[in-house]
Amino acid sequence: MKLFVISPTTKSKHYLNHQSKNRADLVNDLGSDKFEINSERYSINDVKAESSDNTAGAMAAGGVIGVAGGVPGVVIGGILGALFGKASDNEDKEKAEAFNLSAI
Amino acid sequence: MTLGKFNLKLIFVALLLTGISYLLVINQQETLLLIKNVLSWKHLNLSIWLGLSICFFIHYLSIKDNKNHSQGLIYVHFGKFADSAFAIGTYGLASTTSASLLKGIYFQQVLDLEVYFQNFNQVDIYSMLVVCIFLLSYSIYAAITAFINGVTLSQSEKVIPIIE
Repeated sequence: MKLFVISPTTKSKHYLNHQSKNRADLVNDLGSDKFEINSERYSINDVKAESSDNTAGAMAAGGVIGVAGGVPGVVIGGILGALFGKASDNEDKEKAEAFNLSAI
Repeated sequence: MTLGKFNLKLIFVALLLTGISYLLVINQQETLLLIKNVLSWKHLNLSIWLGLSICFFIHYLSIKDNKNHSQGLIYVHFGKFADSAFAIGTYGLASTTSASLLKGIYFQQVLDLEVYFQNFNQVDIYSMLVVCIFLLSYSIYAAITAFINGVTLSQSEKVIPIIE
């Protein structure tokens, strides 16, 4: 899970060098509910969380290592990787949703 | 990255794995030799240990000043350095042992060169193959994820709190 704000001027995403379970933790970590990034001012409520996308990477890793087991190894490795990646994505998505729903 | 209902990354990986499977079938002898060379490479274990250590050390550097990073039991009781050291140790042992077992299975079952597992039946050997593929790919995947997270966190923006 990554935390970011969207710049009001450039509309680009700025990722924060912090990790927190919710906005209250982030306020506690920063010591304030307002902060600056590149001289632009933000409130803690502007911070959003996004989940990472691991399924494809895990599927590729499993499939490539599975080469040692021939074509069945590639298929089994790919399936195991995809299942694990999907589970990891779901967990990350829940964490991101919990952060986005949190209030200070 | 999605195109309508389709996940382009997943489609790309599926195509990649299909391509690898096709290459395995049409270049069987060359592929067998290549895998044999990789598994028999004398620096394989050292390379795995080095690769994992670099990935987790970069991750450690990116989280060491973050007060809210709280992932894992080892971190909670022993701190971030111990957590990273434990990750290197466990993933390193899991991946080098998996690589050695894979080499044995490969030499015995595929190349028929020597018998590594004397009293194991076929089901045990193929179960071991599945578990080793899973363990090795999981360890490599965990290290790459830690590396990417570390680099992403290092490149993220510095937050300056406003105290009013």
